[in-house]
Parts: sequence; structure tokens; C-alpha cells
Amino acid sequence: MREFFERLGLMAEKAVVTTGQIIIMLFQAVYYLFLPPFKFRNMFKQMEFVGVRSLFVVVLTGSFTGMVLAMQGYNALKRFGAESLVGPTVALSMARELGPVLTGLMVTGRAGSAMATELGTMRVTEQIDALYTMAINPVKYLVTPRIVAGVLMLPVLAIITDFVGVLGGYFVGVKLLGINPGVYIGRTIDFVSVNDIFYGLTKSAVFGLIITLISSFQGYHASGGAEGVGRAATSAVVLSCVLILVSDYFLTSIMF
Amino acid sequence: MVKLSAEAKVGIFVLIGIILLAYMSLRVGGMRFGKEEGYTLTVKLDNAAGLDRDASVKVAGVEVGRIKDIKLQDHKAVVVLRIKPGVRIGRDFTAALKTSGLLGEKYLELIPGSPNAPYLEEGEEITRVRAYADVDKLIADLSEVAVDIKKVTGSMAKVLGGEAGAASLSNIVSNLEEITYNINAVVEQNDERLSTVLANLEVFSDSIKEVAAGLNVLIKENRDDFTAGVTNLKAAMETLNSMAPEIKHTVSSIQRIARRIDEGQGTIGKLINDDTTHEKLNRTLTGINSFIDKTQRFRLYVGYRGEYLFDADDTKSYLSLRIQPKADKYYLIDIVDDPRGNRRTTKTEVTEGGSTRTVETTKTSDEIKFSAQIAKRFGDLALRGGIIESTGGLGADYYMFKDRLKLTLEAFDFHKDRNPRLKAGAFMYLNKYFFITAGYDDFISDVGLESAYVGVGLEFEDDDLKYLFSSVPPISF
Repeated sequence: MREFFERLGLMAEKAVVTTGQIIIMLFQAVYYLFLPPFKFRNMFKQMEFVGVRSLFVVVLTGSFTGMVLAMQGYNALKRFGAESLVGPTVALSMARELGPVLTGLMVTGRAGSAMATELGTMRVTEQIDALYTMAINPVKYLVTPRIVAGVLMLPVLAIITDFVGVLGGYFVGVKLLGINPGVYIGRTIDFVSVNDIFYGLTKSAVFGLIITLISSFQGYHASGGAEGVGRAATSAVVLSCVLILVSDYFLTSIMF
Repeated sequence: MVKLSAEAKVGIFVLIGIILLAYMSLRVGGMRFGKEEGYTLTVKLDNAAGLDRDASVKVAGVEVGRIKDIKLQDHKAVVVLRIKPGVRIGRDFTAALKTSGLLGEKYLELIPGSPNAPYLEEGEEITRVRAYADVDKLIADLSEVAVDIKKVTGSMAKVLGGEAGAASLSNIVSNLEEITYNINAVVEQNDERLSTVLANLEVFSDSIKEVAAGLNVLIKENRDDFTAGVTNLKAAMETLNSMAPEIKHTVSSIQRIARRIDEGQGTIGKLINDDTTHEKLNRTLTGINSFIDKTQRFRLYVGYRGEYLFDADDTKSYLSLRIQPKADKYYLIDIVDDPRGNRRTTKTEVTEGGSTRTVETTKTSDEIKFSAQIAKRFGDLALRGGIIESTGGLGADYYMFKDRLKLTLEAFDFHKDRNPRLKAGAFMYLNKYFFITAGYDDFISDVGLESAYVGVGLEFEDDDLKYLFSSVPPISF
């Protein structure tokens, strides 16, 4: 019995401690962002890795999501004779939810795991300690560029996802299912507002922060050799995805 | 291919993102993206349920603006509309809340009125609002109806329900029975009379039918006349009515004037009451009348014509004055410019060296010649005579086709040792003023002067000259 409470207490303590450590890391990263010397080279490298290299996978998921949304929406809305609402359905879903969330999940899978693995390997091979001994702040050198890259690149990826999603929906709705193109576009423009898009982009920036921060943290604090690195990567991906979806709910409830 | 640096790749990537964002924002944002344009109008609705900010405002289904604001004021929804610039909303437009489709969003439809109505300006209100029966209202109305029906059935139950009701009902039934029995008896007793009455009635109704039919036809045939007549009568009566005071006034004035004239007051009174004046006036008027008659009958024409003589290759001109006091009598005065003049050929025998030969000398006299003729017309034939081209002569004209065509023959310049000059021609009048002429001049000439000619001319009536003549006393016709 006592054991159970101890375990519970330990879990709670660990959760609180971890949260605190994450937040401290975030503050450190932001603090070092404004502290010279600036390493732009490093930052751009991360931005390329997070943003540009994720483009293909994001375009692929975005377009197919838009297409499947159009198809499902068409089947459902046809019963009410409201096929014209397929356009708004696709565009609103993409802009508000699916664009940011899908981008976030894909980047988590692609870049988040890589980050955790990279930092974890550096940790277990004591490269981070080596940096420390060379008087290079490992948070400033390793974490800050990654967080900046995530916050800046995720919105860009999200807007691309939105666009290809709407394009895919248009292709399926108009070309394959035969909805009037004028009606499709007109209704889309009627229903979607600029705020829908901007709120989606804000979300994706938050998701970018979550992904890079959690992944970096997990890698940074990896321990236990190769196995520990694998664990760090797994937990980075799982935790990032869960946090993305949870925070998505709260962000949505605040914004809309 | 050049290997792009990480910075370049990121830059391109971000640029693509920004372009896509801008494109989508602009497409989706439409007119709300940026400054507000157009002007605002307000509408007061009893119920603005379902109407949201930014809902469409449509005219004939075309979006002309958006709902800008919805406020509550005096228990009514005051809707502020923002109308696009360039869309004019008339003062008599009707605002109606409508739903697009069965489940669609609400929007505000503005139904146009007459095209000539003045336009609404910034901040003004659309006063005409049409209430639409939505489902709530329908149910409310129906429940009211149900209440009414319930009331009716309730009072019926009160009257007829219970023992007293039943008793009175059976009473009513027995009364009815008695009445029918009585009627039956009456009918039986008066069977014969009734049938006669009915027969009479039948005949009567037949004749009425005929009369009615006749009347119907009469009315049908003259319906328009009746209506028009009644309308005219009405209008006439109205005019008369409105004129009545003036007429009254005029009549009394006339009465007054007449009385005074009758009494010999004033100039007119004296004139009327004095017989000598009347006679003098009569004589004067007769004189004036005869003078005017003469002047009026009297006509004077001025004309000009030119004739082109083929053989002489020259033009002969006439300036003519035709004075026509009566329709069948006229005087002709011409001034003629003859290019050939009056050619006189004299033969002189000259004896020279034993041989005798004849010398011919030709003398051309003055080219200006005069004609003065009197003419009298007998039907289609007119005969004239007098001086023609400065010599004695006579002529005849024959009119055809209602005076449109005139054939003429004249003979003048009689001489003992050669043929007279004969001229035949035709005139065709193109209209009141213009004519063309053609003919053959001097066709029996023995000195080779014969020539065909064509010519044109004009002739018109000159009133100015006419009065000049008529006012000169000696020329009195």
C-alpha cells in the first residue's frame, strides 16, 4: 500500500519536475536567443531540416487529406442537396484544424524523432558534456536554433498544407465529382474568413514550439546508452503528438 | 545544378509560404479585407433571429452588401447595412428576411420598388419591411385557430348538452314535423291554383328571359358608348359646374351692356338705334365687297422662259407678264430677246457691165422685241392676238390633261413676199411654277431660219405687283 502511494507520489513528482525542466529549458532557449553571439548558420541549417525537407511529406498528406475530405463531405452533403458546401467544408477544415495539426504530426514524425535521436546520441556519447567543457552553452548551441526553426517553419508548412488541401479538394469535388467550379470557389470564399487562416497559422506556430521543445528536451535528457536514445525518440514523438492534440483543443476553444 | 545553401532553400520556402498566404487571404477576405467602402442604411425588423453580422444583403439574389451591425432599440432589431458603392437603393425598396434554401443561412433581401423612386442616402432607413411567415409564426397562428374552434365547440356543448338541451332539441324536431305537415296540407289544398301560378310564372319568366337577352345585347353593343357617354357627361357637367360662377357673372355683364345699348346710351347704342347709320354702313360694305371681289379674282403672273434654238445655237429669252382679271380672259405682255433679231433680206438688182445679178443684203434689226396680246379662253382652247415679237400676229393654245400640257401655235411677221413666221410648240408644266417647252420655230421659213428648240421656264403669281396694279385707279377691270 505504502509502495503504491510512493509510486504515485514519485510519478507526480516526476511529472512536475519534468514540466518544470521543460519550462526552464524554454526560458533558457529564449533567453539565449537574444544573447550574442548569434549563430545564424546553425539556425538556417535547422530551418532547412525542419521546413524544407518536410515539404514533400507535408504536400503529400495535405493534398490527400483535402481530397478525402471532399469525397466524404460530398457523400454526406449530397443527402441534403448541399454539394456546394463541400468547398467550405474542405477549406474550413484545412485552415482551422487539419492544416496545422497534420503538419505538426508529420513534422513530429520526421523532424522531432530525428532531433531527439541526434541530441540523445550527443548526450550518451558525452558530446554535450564536451561542449560544456569547451565553454559552449549546449542549450544555446543546440536547442535555441531548433525551437526557432520549429516556430518559424511550422506556419509556412501549414499554409502550404492548407493550399494543397484546398487544391486537392477542388480537384476531387469539381473534376471528379462534378460540382460546379464557380459555386465551389464562390461558396468557399463566402464561408472562409481571413481569421480562419490566421488562427490556424498561430496554432501551427505553437505546435512548432511544442515539437521542437519536447524533442530537444527528450534528447537532451536521454540516458542509458543506445536504448536510452531509442526511448527518448519514442517518448519525444508520443509526447509531442499528444501535446499537439491536447493543446489544439484548448487553442481552438480560445480562438473560435 | 548549383547546390543551394541552406539559407537560400529556407528563403525560397518562406517566400512560397508568404505568397500562398497572401493569395488565400485576398481571395477569402474579399471586400472586407481593407478599408470599409460604400454607405450604410438601417432597417428596423420585428425579429432578426438567425441574422448574423456579415450576413449578405441581396437585391434580386445578387449580393450588394453585408450586415454591419445588429442592435436592439425600442424592442425592435435595428440592422445596419453596409451597401457597396455604386449600388443605389430606392426609397421604396422593401426589406425582407429570407433563408437561402431550407436549412441555409439567413440573409436580408431588398425588393425593388418603382424605378423612378429617389435613392436613399448614407444613414437613412429602409422603412418598408415585409414580415415573413416563418415556422414559429405559423404554429402560433394555428394554435390561435385551435383555441377559436374549441370555443365554438364548447358553447355548442353548453347549449345542446344536458337534459334541458336534449329536451329543447326534441322540441325543435317535433315543431319541424308539425310545420312540414301544415305545408303539405296547404300544398294539397291549393294544388290546382299553384300549378296555374307556376305555369304563369313559367311564361312570365320566359318573356323576361327574352327581354333580358334583348337588353343584354343592347347593353353589350353599346357598352363602350354608354361608358364613354357617361364619362363625357360627367366631364361636361364638371366643366359647367366649375364655369357656373363665371357664366353668371358674364351673363349679368351682358345684361347690363344690352340694357344700356337698348336705351341708346354710348356710341354703339346710338349707332344701333339710328337707321341712317345702318344704311350708310350697308352701302359702304357693298362697295368694299365688290372691290375686294375684283381684286381677288384678278391674278397676275410673272414669268420667264428660255428657248434653246438648235440651228442658231443660241438662246431666246422671254420675260412675260400675264394679267388675268377673269379665269377666261388674260393679257399677255412679253419682252423677247431674240438672238437672231428681225432679219430683213432685201434683194437688189444690180446691172453691171451688161449682166444683171441679184444682190441680197441682210439687215438685222434690234434684238429686243415686244409682244402684247389679248387672249380669251373657250374651254380648253384659248385664242389670242395682238403684237407678237414686235409684229402683228395671232395664236392659239390648246390645253390638255387639266392644263398640265399646252399645245401652242402662233403665226406672226406677215409679209407680202415671204412666208409668215409660224411657231408650234408644247409646254409641259412640271409643277405650279416650272415648265419645260419644246417645238419648232419658223417651220415654213423660206430663208432657212427654221429651227427646233427646247426650253425651260418658270411662272409665278405675284401678289405684290398685283396690288400695285389694283390700287392704281385707271386700271380697273
